[in-house]
Amino acid sequence: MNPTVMNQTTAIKQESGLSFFMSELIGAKIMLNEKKIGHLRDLIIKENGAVPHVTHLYISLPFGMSAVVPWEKIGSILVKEKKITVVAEDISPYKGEPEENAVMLKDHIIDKKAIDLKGRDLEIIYDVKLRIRDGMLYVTDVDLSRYGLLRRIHLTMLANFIYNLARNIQDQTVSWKYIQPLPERIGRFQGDIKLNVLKEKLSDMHPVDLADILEEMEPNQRVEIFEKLDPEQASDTLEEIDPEAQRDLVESLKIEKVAVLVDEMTTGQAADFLSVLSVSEADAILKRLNPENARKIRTIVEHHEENILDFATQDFISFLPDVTVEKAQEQYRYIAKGKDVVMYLYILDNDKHLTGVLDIKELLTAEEHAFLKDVMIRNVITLAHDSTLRKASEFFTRYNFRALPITDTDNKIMGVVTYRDIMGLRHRYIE
Amino acid sequence: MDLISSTYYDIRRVVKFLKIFALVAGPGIIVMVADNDAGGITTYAVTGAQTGYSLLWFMVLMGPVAYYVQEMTVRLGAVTKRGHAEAIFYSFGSFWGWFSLLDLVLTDWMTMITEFIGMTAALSIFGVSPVVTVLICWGIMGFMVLQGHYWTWEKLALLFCAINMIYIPAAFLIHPSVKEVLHGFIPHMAAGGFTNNLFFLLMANIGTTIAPWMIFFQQSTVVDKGMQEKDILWGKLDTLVGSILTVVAAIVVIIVTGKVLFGQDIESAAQAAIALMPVNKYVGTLVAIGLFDAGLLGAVCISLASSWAFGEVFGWAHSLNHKVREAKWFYAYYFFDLMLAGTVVLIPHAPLVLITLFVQVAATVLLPAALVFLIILLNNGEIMGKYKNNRRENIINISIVAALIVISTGYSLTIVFPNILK
Amino acid sequence: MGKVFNIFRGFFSAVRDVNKKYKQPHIKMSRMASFSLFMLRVYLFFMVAILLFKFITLAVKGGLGVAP
Repeated sequence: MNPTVMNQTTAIKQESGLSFFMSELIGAKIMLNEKKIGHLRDLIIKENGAVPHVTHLYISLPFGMSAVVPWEKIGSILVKEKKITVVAEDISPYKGEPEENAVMLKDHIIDKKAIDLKGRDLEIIYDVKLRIRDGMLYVTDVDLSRYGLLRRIHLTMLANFIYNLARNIQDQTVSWKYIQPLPERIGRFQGDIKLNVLKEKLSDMHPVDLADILEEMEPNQRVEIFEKLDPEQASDTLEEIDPEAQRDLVESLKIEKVAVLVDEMTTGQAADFLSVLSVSEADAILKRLNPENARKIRTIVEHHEENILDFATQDFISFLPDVTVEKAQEQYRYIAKGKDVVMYLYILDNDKHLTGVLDIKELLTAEEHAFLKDVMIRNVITLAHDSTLRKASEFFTRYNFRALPITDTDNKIMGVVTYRDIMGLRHRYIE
Repeated sequence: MDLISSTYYDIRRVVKFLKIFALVAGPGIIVMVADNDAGGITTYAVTGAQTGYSLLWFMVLMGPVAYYVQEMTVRLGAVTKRGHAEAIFYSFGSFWGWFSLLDLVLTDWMTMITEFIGMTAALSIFGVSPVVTVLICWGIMGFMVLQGHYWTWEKLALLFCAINMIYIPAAFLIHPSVKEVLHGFIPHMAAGGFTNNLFFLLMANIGTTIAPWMIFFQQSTVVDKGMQEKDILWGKLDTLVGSILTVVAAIVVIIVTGKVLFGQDIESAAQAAIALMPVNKYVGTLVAIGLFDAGLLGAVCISLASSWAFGEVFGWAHSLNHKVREAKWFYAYYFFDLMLAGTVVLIPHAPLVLITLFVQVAATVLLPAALVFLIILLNNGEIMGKYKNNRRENIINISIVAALIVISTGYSLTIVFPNILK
Repeated sequence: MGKVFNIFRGFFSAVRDVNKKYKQPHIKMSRMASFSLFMLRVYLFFMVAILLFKFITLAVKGGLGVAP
């Protein structure tokens, strides 16, 4: 072996442990036989297991040409001098563009958004930290800090200065181990999107947070994420998202799938959601719902008269007055499944007359052998069947209940409206 | 008792009706009044000066024309929840999409310039220099959109609409003869018969009544406001009220100039205001203020129309409810439009007359395309469902569109070949 | 230079995306609709031809820059 080559390979090995940011290296001079032949444009990595390593260097040559040089042909990397030496007879065998599915650090990773599930926020990857070890170049961390940005725009000195001033900011670099690439199918966006999800799982997130994050994403990424959610979470998230994103999502999802999600909503929420869609989409979804619900939703969507009963749900928990607390506690968990209102037990007689109400807390703390009629609250705050939405909202603000029962003149229960359906939707409170 | 309770319910019904109207109204009134922009006021002033009261009846006819065209955009917006540009791209593919967008952008730039010409001319009557006027306009227009709420923007725009009605007191101040004015509303031929000049005036009036930007603008406003299926009826009413206001404003301008300046050689609204000053300085002042307001309102709406269109097509966030940070491109384009038009006006010796003429030709040549798209979209059952044009609406709309196409073609031909009728 | 080039590249790729998204008309064209669109094309060609004619005659006469 040529002694100079020998020296150069050891140069890399000697620098083992050296770590630096990619931005410090991009644009470095590429030397071949002591002559400058071009600049470093990008690094191509291969992901295998935990830490990916650099397999090729993507080099721009003069006259718009480019070359892809394998890592084995690299003699030395001098970060400070911004100089990379290639060990080869000639550059011509390596001329060309990277393969279609090659993952390029600068092009595909930098400036991409990553969901930080701890901060429940979208972060931007400003830089990547590299480390030379055992003659290989590994990608170890990503930099989410703004200082990564400073460094990128060639203010390295300033960036380093700030780093030293505030060392605690440094923990904004995140180890690559925690970067999870999205599923393979992301590749169908021609490889130019590499969205990364940090550590935890999406399904653990609260729908409101998830909605915020989805709103900030590109439409196609949004769909990818959305399709990973289970129906209940998807339904809640869909409802929380802003109208424009809602329309986008519905356009790219299958209408059957959306109908399933809408079916999980209460009538008020469904109407709120459908009213921002185009009429043809809303119709297609309504046709797939159960006719009674569809009728109520239609009434809300098409008319300004907002009858409180259209917002009411029948999925509440009712017990007879003569049931014991123990029995009610036992049955609660089975009965509560799939109900819209689970925090209150409504105590009804055989003819559905509302005799009292019981908070779930009170049920759990009540004496086991007592009858429900003895522990329930008899003086129930109710809405009349002809109450307006405004009235309901006044009641909710005044009493802070999470649901209110609606009764007819005979005190028979007609349904229950939830706080969320009245206070959380885009009502206009005309009367 | 019965009478009292039924009256009570009647009142409640009316109150509820008014409440819904107050919530929904806005886009229609704004687009219609903004239609009386600087160019529009100029056209009316010239019409009055040249023909006196004899075309008043013709202006009344313009009300239904404007209403029927704009009403279609309300339905289209409330049903599809998409703006007009997006609707065209979606329905007709990218060729027609780019065509319409380019059409909109070009005519908007040109019209914006005429608005700034009007505003600088109006304020120069009070001795304000053009540079200051342009800066004031940028300030007001920037503030209107940057506060970050559609609602506030709409209310401010409605305020400018109210100021636009300033011509009504102006008309009363000059004490026109009621009999002569009433006579003007009876359809008749102007003295001197059907001349080249009269034809030109008629078509100029039609040209200011319907413009491509109005279609884009109202549909985008309807969408940005979040109007829904249930609001369609109120949206139509809103448009109707707007179309009445626009006709009233046009008529009073014609009455003012027709009474005082009849027979004089007037070329622009600013010139009319100057000519009115010696006769009655209040009327002159009101006309000048009205002209500035018209230009301002027009400029705001026109630049928003193209911002919205770009936002829809390129998928940028595009709502007045967004902060600048959230919808930077949307606002960037809006300001780009403002800066461009304002700067062009300040260029010394800019060929402003040529630009004005070009606007008229371009707008009228391109108008048929926008109208044809509108009719096709409104007849598509897939998109419109039960809100598509019924037979009656189709008969009215198609005849209006056909007439507009014939007339606007004739108009652009007469501008290009001024001697065609001789 | 590179910056400007990048802006243009971004713009063109945005235009390409739009073209791809709206490649085909999404509505079923009735016969009337496609006929009207055809007529619209004819009309526009006609108008553009006339404007070009006017422009050329003006240019030949050296009357450009003077309002008609």
